[in-house]
Amino acid sequence: MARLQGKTALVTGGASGIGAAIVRKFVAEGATVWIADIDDDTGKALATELSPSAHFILLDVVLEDQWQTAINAATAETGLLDILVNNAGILETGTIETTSLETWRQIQDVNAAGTFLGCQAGVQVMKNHGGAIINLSSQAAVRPRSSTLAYAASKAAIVNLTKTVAAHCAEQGYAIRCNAVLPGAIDTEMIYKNRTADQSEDEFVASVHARYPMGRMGTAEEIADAVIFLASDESRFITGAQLRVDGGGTI
Amino acid sequence: MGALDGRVAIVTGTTAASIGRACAIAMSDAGAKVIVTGRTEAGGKETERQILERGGDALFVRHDVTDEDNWRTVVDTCLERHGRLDILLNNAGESKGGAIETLTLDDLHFLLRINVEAPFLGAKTCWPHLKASGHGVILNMSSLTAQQPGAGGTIYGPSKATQNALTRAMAMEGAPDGIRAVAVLPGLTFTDGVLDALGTDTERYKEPLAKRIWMGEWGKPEHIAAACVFLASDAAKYITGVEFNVDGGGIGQMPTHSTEPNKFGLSS
Repeated sequence: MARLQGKTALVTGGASGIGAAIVRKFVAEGATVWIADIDDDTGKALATELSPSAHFILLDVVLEDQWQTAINAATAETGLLDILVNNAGILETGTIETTSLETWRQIQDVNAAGTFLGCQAGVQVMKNHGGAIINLSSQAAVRPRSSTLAYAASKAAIVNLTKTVAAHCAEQGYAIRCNAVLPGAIDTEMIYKNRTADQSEDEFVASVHARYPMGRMGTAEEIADAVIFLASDESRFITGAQLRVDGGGTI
Repeated sequence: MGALDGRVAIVTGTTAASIGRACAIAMSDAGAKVIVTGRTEAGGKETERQILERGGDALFVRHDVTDEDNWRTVVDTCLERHGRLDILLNNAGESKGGAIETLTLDDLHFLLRINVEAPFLGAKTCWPHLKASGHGVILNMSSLTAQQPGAGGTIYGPSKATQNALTRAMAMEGAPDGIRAVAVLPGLTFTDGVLDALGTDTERYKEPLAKRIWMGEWGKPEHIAAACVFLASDAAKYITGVEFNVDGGGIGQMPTHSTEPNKFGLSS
């Protein structure tokens, strides 16, 4: 029995990286998935590949009116959205001495405000019938490094937002669970932004591996497995939680 | 196809209608063969019977988890029967409530023996076999009380917090050996043990306590068991050294609760 049979899901940043892995695994578990992304070429190609179980919708998560359009599209057929994954995010490196206010604001905007808008749209559409919201935070939220100042702060905001949204839904009696997943170093394009100018790719990879008790990076599929658990009824007594999927990186 | 097909698990503390039994049943339903242990023969045999009735493979072994020789017997029995061991669920535990002025040092030692020494003995005895498994997992049944003292007593929480520190140490040491270790933190869960603790006031406290849980309902052993199956499976193979809350959002951090009927449908 597929674990998400008959569910409708929307995954932001679903065109590539962790988001695409979530989309693929959701489809494999029986869900109909809306890939919401700014990258329409890649997103449409993935939707075509997974047709008829996946659809593409253009969504810049910082634009409130696009959220409304995306939610309307996803709910047009059944009237319901069961699962929302706020996965879209960006990373720029920088310390307290090198991060500009502009960079800080841009990262807070996409990562924190984008997730805020997603939760707002999700709660609105789910509050009568229930659902699951999963926000992608980061190991950096609880174990920051000096070099990803703005990113880590934005991801910490997501953890807090998640718990607050979960509390609100519980208080109101909405059957909406809201949980966060905190990936460690995951082998996608984004992680390589952390490579410094004096590092070869091999040196960079070795330096990442050395920071993890498991001695390796995680895979996008391993994050998707955790998201499926939190999206499914298997986690029906879990809300407001932060699930660290980080190879022991926060021990 | 189950998430735990081909795996062999030892689950301690399975003799009551509680979390341990539910975990053993859920792991069996997911394809694992289980050795179920505990001190009370009748209750353990009942768990074994329920699993066999569902078509699973279970064997009860009498087990005092504070006794190192007992642990060797349990592990030897498991290896003779199945030739391997993949999952250790240290579920057996004890609680002792009371005010700090009335609790004794013996009470604290009692809790530390069962909640800290026993998982240590279990991990130590099972370690080489979990390492040989290639999928070795240690799950330690902790408690929300480790993070939120006051919800369950002056010394119970600290004993579980100590167990969590032990879990992180196991995860750190286990990573190079391919062994994962995770602490599972149930919140208020409706079990025989909790009912015993509430005593004759069960009905009086059941509803008020439920209102203090974010989701407005008590957890059920099945909710904890579903999390344990996920954590024991390869779907969680990049998860180690974490505290995994299955607590309906937590207890008592919320001043008001909706008077609306609960919609989560957990009772179904």
